[in-house]
Amino acid sequence: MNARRFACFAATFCGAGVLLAAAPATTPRMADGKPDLNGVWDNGGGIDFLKPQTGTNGSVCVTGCAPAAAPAAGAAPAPAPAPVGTARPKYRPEFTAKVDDLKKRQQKEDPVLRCQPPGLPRIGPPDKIVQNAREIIFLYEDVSGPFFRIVPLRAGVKRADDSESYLGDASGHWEGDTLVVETHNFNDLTWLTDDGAFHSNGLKVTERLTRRGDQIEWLAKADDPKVLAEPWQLRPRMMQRTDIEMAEPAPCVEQDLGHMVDDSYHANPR
Amino acid sequence: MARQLASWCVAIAVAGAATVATAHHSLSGQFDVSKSFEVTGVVSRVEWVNPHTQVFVDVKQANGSVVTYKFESLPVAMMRKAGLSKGELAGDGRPVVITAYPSRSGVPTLGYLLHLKLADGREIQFSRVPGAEQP
Repeated sequence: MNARRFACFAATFCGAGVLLAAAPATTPRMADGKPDLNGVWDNGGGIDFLKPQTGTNGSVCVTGCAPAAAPAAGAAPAPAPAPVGTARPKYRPEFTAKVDDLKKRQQKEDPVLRCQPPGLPRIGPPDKIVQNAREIIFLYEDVSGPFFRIVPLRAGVKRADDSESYLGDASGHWEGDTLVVETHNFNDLTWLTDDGAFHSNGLKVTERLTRRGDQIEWLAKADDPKVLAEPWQLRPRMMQRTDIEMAEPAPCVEQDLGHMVDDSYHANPR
Repeated sequence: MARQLASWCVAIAVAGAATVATAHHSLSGQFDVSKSFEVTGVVSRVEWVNPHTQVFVDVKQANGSVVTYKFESLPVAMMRKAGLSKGELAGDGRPVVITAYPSRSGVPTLGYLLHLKLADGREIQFSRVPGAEQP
């Protein structure tokens, strides 16, 4: 067990609880006055439900543990998500049958189950941000592998390849203290989320990142008029700054499907 | 209460910087989740990969031969969130006790890792063992 890691995490997150209870911390800024988004950010990663426990002898319980003790009275509760966004996109009527069919065959059709790139917005908020005045780099540690996105903050950037891609072509600009990232030129090989939520190559995704103290609110909207009845506003995600450096993402090596005896699956709602 | 709070903080504090899929195909589609079996052996290899880490354990048979079992377990990000590393699972060369779901595909040396007892006495519960007491 890496005791130092635990200590750092505990300091980071328990400290964050104190911060949440107190007045918002000052948002650091770059030399050009823009909010400083640099750093490693814990975004929950879809495993917020996981509450590992460590015994005094170093034993570890990862899942199926006894319920964790409730926080002491007076401790800050988790921030309530903003009442916007939905869990699933709404499709035009002529495509609902296709979504239902893909959902039924998810184990065979969901690209993520075969270690394929998750695409956007399914990949979620970045795990690390590297920022300067000209561009912002998003780094991801995903179950499908490592991914990066380059977000130019200036016009006229030439790319080595303008083919449609899994994570598309991004460009960014500031609206006040909010970084707005608009992305298009996607291929149609990814899903917006699980349960057959396919999209076309007409997908456009808009992300809005607003830093307040040691948190960044990540909002995302997916618009695909070819197949969606309306733009899909995802539920907000909150990114919490952490001092734990991002680790090299593990490679994704699918080894299970050959041993499956039926088509059952469970949710994969990122 | 302070100690409980500390435990709670540690429990929530180990959230790693990871974007992960939380789920995959159904475990019950591959393993019999109503049963478990136990073997004792030496961890010979750990594959630190997604979507599931893989732990290989050499188990000595009654006739002296060695059979290698392959155990699937949690994604790397979940391991990291619990503060576990590849080295932690690899052990120190001494025998460990593994409890696992058996495979439904008829492969007797394939399982899903539920519990690992290390030679130094520490235990790692990855998932609850069927019929076991609540830890």
